[in-house]
Amino acid sequence: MNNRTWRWYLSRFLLHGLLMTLAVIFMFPFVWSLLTSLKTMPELLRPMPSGSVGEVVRYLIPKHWRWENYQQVFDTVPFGRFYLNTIFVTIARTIGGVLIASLAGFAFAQLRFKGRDVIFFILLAGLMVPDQVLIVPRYILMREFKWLDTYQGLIVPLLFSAFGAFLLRQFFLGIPRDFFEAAQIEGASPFRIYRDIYLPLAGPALSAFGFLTFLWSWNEFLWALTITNSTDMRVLSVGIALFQGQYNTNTAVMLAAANLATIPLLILFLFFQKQLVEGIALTGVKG
Amino acid sequence: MGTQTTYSTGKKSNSLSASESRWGYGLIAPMMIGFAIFFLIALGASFVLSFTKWDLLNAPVFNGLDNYRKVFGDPKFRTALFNTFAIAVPNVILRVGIAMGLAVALNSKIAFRTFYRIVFFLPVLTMPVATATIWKWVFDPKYGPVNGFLRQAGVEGPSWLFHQNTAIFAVVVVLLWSGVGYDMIIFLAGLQAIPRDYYEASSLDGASGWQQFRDITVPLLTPTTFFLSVIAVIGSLQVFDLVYVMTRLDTSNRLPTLVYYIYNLGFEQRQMGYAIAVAWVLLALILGFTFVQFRMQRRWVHYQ
Amino acid sequence: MVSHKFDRRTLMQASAAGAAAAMFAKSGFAQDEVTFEPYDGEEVTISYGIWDSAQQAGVEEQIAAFKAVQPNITVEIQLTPWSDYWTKLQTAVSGGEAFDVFWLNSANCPVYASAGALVPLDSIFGEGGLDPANYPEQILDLYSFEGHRYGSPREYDTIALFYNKDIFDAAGEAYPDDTWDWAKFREVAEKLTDEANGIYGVGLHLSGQENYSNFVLQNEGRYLNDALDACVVADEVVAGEALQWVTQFYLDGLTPGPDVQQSNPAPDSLFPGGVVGMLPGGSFRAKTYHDLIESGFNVGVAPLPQGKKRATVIHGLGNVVWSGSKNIGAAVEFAKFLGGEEAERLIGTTGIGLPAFKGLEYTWTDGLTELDAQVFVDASEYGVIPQDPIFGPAWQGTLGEEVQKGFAGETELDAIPQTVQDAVNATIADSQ
Repeated sequence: MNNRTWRWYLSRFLLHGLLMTLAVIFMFPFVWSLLTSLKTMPELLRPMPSGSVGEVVRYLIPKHWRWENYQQVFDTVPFGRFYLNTIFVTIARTIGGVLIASLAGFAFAQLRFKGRDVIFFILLAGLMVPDQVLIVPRYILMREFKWLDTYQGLIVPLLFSAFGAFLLRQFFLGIPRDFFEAAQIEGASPFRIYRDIYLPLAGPALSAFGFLTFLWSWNEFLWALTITNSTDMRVLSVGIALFQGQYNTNTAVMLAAANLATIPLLILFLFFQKQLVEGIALTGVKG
Repeated sequence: MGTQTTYSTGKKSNSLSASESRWGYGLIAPMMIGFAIFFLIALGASFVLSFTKWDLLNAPVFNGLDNYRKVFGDPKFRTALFNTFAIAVPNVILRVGIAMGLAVALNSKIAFRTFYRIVFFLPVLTMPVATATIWKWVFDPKYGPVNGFLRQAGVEGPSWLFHQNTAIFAVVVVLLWSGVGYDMIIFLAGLQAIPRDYYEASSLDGASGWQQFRDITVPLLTPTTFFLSVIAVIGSLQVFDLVYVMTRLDTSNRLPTLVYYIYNLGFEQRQMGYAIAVAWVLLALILGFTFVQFRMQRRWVHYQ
Repeated sequence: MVSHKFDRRTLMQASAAGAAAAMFAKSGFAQDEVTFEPYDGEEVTISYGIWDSAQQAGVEEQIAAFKAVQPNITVEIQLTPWSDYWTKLQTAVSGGEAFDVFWLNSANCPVYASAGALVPLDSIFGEGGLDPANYPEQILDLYSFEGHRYGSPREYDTIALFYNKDIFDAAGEAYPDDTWDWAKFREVAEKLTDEANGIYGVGLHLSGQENYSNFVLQNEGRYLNDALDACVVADEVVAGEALQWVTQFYLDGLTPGPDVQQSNPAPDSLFPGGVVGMLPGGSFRAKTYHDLIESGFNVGVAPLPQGKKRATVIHGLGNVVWSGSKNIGAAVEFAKFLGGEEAERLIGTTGIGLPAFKGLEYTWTDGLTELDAQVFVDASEYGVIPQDPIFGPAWQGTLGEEVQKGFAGETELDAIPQTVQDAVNATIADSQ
């Protein structure tokens, strides 16, 4: 540690200066959303003074902290029910999605079979078409399946993530095929090789994909909006949009709903990022 | 790193590769069957519908290649195409670059790194509707803080979201703000897969931090970088929700992008057949870019 | 070889159309003749599609009242966010499974009716049903198409002039009243505007309904011709004149411009925020503003100033029945109930809006003790309904977009009528 010269301190100072500046910019909208969600209607409607930093800060802080906005979220819509639906649907999509994508990602990366790359490319096309133009045919399909307004309808069609297959393929490609061949010579089936060797090695990638799937599913809007109708089947993302009226929106209550929906994600992320980065010793590839 | 083979080409018996082949199809089967049912059917239907005039409410009427012919002479399509690229190009480059920088910085033993990780990821956690609401206000020409601070400095700021050029700038800023945390997490995961030994060995050889970054981190991250660039291109060319909400003006849009145009045509103008044809042109475009990216990867992506 | 080519094309056409037809075999497309069995008292559940969570409580009271009359019909509210309602509705109707009863605006009525997606509701009017004489004629016309009635009347809205008393007092101006004309309106707008303190004399919303459409009507103008298939804004001059007159307010800085209203629409934030003196606004704003009075928002309301004549846009939602419903009989019963006196009274008492049922307007105005809400009721006498062509509302989007370019100074003032007309006609050509 005696190489900590003034250069080292300077570079750290500059790095932290940059990161802190970015951090303020990144945090600002979040803080804004928290503070605004506690405002009263008249305060919400007051235009911001376009003046000094002090004025802006004074403007942002509510005069009367209206915690009732959070109560109002639950009074207006069955937000608790939306929560349970979202949790259930998201867990199901995450488990199923990671499983299916990791199998496919492994096969695309490590196994050799005819047409592999063409099939993979066709799968990628799934990411390239805007949902809006597929929505009516898919709606008809769901109607034929009698899956409209059901959990199956919310979960099953979204289990097949080309994004996940691609992400995990990239990670599995990073693992030397030597492992595969060595195990194969010992007589292990590709599935066992996948389960016992590759899956543990891909720990960080799997948990990253799992977390991102969770996150995406939690916020997913268009599909949930399209195939559910009844209040009992609605999820949080649609629930929040319900707070936007045609003529009058109470932004504070809407943001309160959005903040409530974000909190579980924040908690989950706290655990996840620790596990992601500190799990190296357990899962890192030994070169 | 010369110890690792790339794509081993060792000989194997035919029976072994036949079984490997069967396993290959078997393991992708769950994905591909689901994909076929829930995506390919709809895609096929949309292909047929792209040759029709269809207002969603009445039965579609076949009109041959009319829709496709129309796309190329459509000035609104060209505007949307231009806007989309003007947003996508800076977004892809900056997003991947900034995310890699952040991930590397936050993977090192730097002070407050947990705090930084959380903060840079916060935007990804924010509900989209809140993101749009907040940023619209940040860029508000009269009451927003950006112009407020500019005014303090004696400059009258522009109407950011109202004019094409400034709107592109503002939208890219917000896209970066909401996206770099996402890519940062994937980079962090990728960094965990780089064996520690490499760094230890090169430290013994006296390599500096910068040399390690250049010779170990960057090359070994290329599979992740490649993935993120492909995804960024695909995503950026379909940019919609955020731009839509941010640049909306009553019933029109000040910065129409391709997917906005598709949505507008399909659901607002009820020319769904034509909208789908535009979507197929977009698909062809993205497919082309992705194909080139895959072709180019041999030049710069290092798989172990 | 011409015939060969022709054959191939026909074949292709047949196969593509065949595939598409198979796909949509069971979809909700074009049922020309809608016949249905009247409701026979069996136990059924029907869905009711609405888009405003703020009105849900009132709608629930209506449903409870209906349950007392028809205990075997259960009505389930299906609430869709306003911003996604039309996308959702089109997908659902097109996909062959939609709401049994739902809210519709007049602009979409001819579109859905002509596609056979709506059940004609002529049978709910007449003996034993609703008496047409109980509703303003315009409200019935909103949901009439080719000689049939498709909507059960619900509520209506008109436009009047809200004003901020504090801003008037500070400028020493008298409050607006029913003597005002365009010149007076413009004059006071200039006097109230105080750039140094960030006060705008008037807040002209970007939408036609609460802004230029009223002035076009007052100038004896219209957007479309009699056949509703061509825009006449420039050809008939008067509409174009009105648009230019409105645009001048923006160019002179008397109203917040479209760039400011992009994130701060005048009726939603700037007027209740106290920086706008006057606001032409819909009756649907009245309750929100009224409820702000107790926290110090000093608001009043007067009739719109008059131009060549008095006029305001009048509109209202209709309750319609989907022709693909499995329970049309029950759905029609519910739609009929919603137009009746009991359900209409609840529209007023729960604060949703002005009941379309004549004589019940007081149930709404009584709830707004601090505002002279009667001006909205009086305005219905000179209310004019929008022109709603069969090809749908896309032209209105183009109209708005072009008019707003004028507001932003992107179109020369003189060129506005012709530019608007040409753009709207182009959209009409695409829509047909």
